[in-house]
Amino acid sequence: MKQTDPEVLDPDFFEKEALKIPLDANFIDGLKEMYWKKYYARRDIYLRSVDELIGKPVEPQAYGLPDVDKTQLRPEYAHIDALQHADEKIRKIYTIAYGNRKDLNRAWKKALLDSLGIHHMEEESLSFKVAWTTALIRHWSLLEEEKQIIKPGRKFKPPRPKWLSMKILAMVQYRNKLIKQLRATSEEEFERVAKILKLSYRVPKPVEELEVNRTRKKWTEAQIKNRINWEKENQLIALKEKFMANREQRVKEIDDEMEKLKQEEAAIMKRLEEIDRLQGKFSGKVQGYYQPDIIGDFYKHNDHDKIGFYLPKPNMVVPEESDAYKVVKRKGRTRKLVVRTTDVDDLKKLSPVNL
Amino acid sequence: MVQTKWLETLKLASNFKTAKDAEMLLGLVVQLSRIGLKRTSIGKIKCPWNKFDDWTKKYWVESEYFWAYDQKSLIKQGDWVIIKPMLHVDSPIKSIRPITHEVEKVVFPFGNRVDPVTKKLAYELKFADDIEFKRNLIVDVIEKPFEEDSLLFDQKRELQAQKIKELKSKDLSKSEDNN
Repeated sequence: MKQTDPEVLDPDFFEKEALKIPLDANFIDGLKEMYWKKYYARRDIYLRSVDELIGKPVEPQAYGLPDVDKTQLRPEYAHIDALQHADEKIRKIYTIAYGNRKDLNRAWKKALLDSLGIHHMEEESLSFKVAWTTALIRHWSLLEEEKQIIKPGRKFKPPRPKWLSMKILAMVQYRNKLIKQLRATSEEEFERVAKILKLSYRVPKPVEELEVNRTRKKWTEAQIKNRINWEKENQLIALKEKFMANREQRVKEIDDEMEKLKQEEAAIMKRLEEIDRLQGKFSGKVQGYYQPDIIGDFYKHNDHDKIGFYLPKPNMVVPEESDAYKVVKRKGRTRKLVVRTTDVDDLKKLSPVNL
Repeated sequence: MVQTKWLETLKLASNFKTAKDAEMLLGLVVQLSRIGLKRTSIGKIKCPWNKFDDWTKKYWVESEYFWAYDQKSLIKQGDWVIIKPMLHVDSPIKSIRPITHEVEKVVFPFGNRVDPVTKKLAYELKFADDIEFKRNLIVDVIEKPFEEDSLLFDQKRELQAQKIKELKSKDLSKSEDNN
């Protein structure tokens, strides 16, 4: 897939493709491949945004430089009348082809400015500065590649001129600043300049949309979570449709069953009341609540620990352990009961009546 | 005594009020967001504020950030806007931080930075009209004479000087008429 396809330019293209990977034993391997595809695609976009042309032949047209007539006179000698009607052998000495590299550079810059319709003396405008810097970047990068050509009689490629490549990067950053200002002042002028000079400007993303999952591990973990939520949502939607389909009918069935059960319960309670009445028991509702004789048992609750014969004997039935009392086993058959509460209900269980 | 009075007045002027108490603020929209059920748009605005330093005796620019309501959805990222503090809110929206300001109007929209006083497009320190005027002047005075191939170099230079004289005489006559 090429980067120029409109589908691939979608920022969430690879995340959407990750949802289509089947949930097999090779799911994570599929995510790994998808990550590397995204990485290389992102790398291509970054390199194009920086305007560095890699892997192209060393020709000025490949670097975005316009065609220049090298048989033209240099601008220093353009106004001389004698050269206008002179011999070609004399005239060609004062042309760009027989000049320095500097003359060629100036001719490229002038051609780019003429393509935009900008005069060479309006140095204050931003579009002039953008065109000037693009020409600089392009003929410097051409020079950089020309310096690495293997000369005849040599084996190895000469090293990259770092003094030049650092300047190119600095100029690219300066140009991005100028483009940002141009875009803020007038978008029409910016679009016109970008179209003619064939610039690729990368709009900076807002803070909320910045990518957080930079490494492969984080990206795969995020995709797995996405997939889990996506599958859950689909299942919930299917369940909801299933429940909503026969909802009214099911609610009616439940209501009918409830009514039947209530009628059964009422009949059973009626029968139980009749039985109680026949046996002579009180089957009505009690008003109030039962209160124990606290005042009469007052001395028992307070001096319960001091009265020794109220304590349980080893052969007696001891109640179950709880937070209220604890059974401590000693040597032999003896046991000791430790009482911790003062609750009436808990102490009643230890009363001599029960023992 | 005079110097101390001058410094005291400067201090008073700088510390008289903070950016929060200001009635009107001009700022740049840095971030956009939406809150509430109706998704009303709000913007994070960077407002430059001059603060006086006692040691250096200078004003330094320190920017402060405010979140402001934009109920009419006028703003976009990169705009320069005027904001005012909201004294009361009819239907307050719950949010983590309290939103205290409201956008009044957009002064410089992003992509069309027109001066509101002169209504002209400005590139930093120059107007676009002035740049075009300069360009046309140069083409008329300097380059057009050299495009005539029938003339020699000296004749072309004489033509240039003649045109400059005409322009100067026009300016002088205009200034005399105005006086």
